[in-house]
Amino acid sequence: MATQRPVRVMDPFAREFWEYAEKKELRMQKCGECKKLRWPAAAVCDKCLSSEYSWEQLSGKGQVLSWIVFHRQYFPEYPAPHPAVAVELAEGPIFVCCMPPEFEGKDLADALPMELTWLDAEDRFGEYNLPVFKPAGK
Amino acid sequence: MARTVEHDRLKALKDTVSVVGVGESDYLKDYRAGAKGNATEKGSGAMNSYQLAATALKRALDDAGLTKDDIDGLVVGGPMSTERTCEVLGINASWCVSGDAPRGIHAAVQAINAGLCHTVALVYGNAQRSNDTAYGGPRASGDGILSYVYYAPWGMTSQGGLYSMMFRRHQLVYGTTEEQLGAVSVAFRKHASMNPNAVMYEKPITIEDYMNARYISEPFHLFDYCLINDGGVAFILQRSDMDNGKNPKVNISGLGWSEMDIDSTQLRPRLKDFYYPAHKNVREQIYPMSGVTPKDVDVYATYDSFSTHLLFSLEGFGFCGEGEGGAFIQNGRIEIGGEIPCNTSGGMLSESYMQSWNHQPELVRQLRHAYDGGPRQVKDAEVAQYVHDVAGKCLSVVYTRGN
Repeated sequence: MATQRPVRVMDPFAREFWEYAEKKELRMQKCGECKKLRWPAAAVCDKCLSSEYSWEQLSGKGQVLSWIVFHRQYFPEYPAPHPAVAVELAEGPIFVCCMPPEFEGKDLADALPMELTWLDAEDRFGEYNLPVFKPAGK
Repeated sequence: MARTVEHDRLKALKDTVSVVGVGESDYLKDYRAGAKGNATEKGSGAMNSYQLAATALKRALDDAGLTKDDIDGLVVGGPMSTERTCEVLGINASWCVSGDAPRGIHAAVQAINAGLCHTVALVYGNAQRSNDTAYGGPRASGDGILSYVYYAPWGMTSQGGLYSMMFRRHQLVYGTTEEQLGAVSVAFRKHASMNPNAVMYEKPITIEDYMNARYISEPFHLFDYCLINDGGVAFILQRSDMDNGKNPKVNISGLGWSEMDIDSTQLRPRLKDFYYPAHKNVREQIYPMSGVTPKDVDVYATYDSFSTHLLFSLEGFGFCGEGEGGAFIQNGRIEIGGEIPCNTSGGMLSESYMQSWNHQPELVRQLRHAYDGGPRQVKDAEVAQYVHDVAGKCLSVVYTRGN
């Protein structure tokens, strides 16, 4: 059985994102007209309101923008302490996530290069792959 | 970004509306209603939101020397519905909207000037402790704000977590320290210690207490977080020329509003901009409209679900430079008696977590000189400013003491 995690916010556009995650592909919607990348998934481009989009595969590279360490436990699935990190992706969007459990807040620093990896996950929508970032090369 | 503000039309609203009555519930007494004077147990169901709002409204009406029959407009805040609020209070107003305090003030000033109503009650009640409202974790709803719930699969949750991440970014960019930030919590506790209705009355803390308190979401310590308590607030806005003169006159002299929602779920306005662009847009509205500058502001209040709101807003509104907030707030500058006294009731960190509402009666009373002769009074206060920079928007209100 995969690791239980707090439930995802699900809608038709999020579902497409998670379907790519099944193949371990981190993709975001790219506007078919003005080419803006948007995150989280949404019905239209916030820049030009176009409904046309494709799912752009991302490089999986980024750098640390900020992070925190939870010392209070909010979710049974995440015992404290556990870090959360905001990664500024090479393509521009900011991706907020956790790290693999072997990494701690003290492993992070401003602008530290980060790379994509995947964790197993399950919620009431089923088993899935959770995209996360870790210090590059570690 | 589309921004159309016709400053001449905005300026015409200056001093057209007065705050004629203020009231609130018994924050401390209600908080200490648990067994043996302890805090009310979360989820006890001891109080309901409408009861708290009704208490506050009756006090605001008494303060104004008005009755509920004088009310022809209503703003309803917090978790209350407009229908049930009007039903419980027995008011069929000609105009009624939902909103937080600053949005309600904006709307009421416009409605009064449009001739839709002349005497507006703004009411709020929130039995959030009795109802065990969750602001993080599996039960958090986030009021429709997606970033409060979207990152749950990654374990990221709570408004506190987001603001803590914003503060960490401020630390990385500007070198701000936790100890510097602690000056906010210490100052607001000091103010609450002068306020017999504050939940944290007579419970001052030192910077050592602040630093030694446990982390909740590091770098945030316990005292960076607001309270969770039950309470209600009400105040009455009236067309200025109708003011019966029962209380010293307090006018609404400046209004400003700027949304900053684009890329908000990915936290760009917080982590890249600290909401500064929204602060700047608002200050370009309120200062010209009210004819004051930050140097003229005698008493200041900011939304303070977390300590950092003060840091970011003082920078964004030009009280100090961007990134200078950590040093600026030291040495009593933000305390009563200092250069810019902030959240003089104790704010949401130490008086009552009324989600923008408890700040308004306090600013009004400071301008009335209601505490004259006591340590809580900001001496000769003539100009007060409220700043509301939270979750994708900034609003501000400037109040002045009238003649």
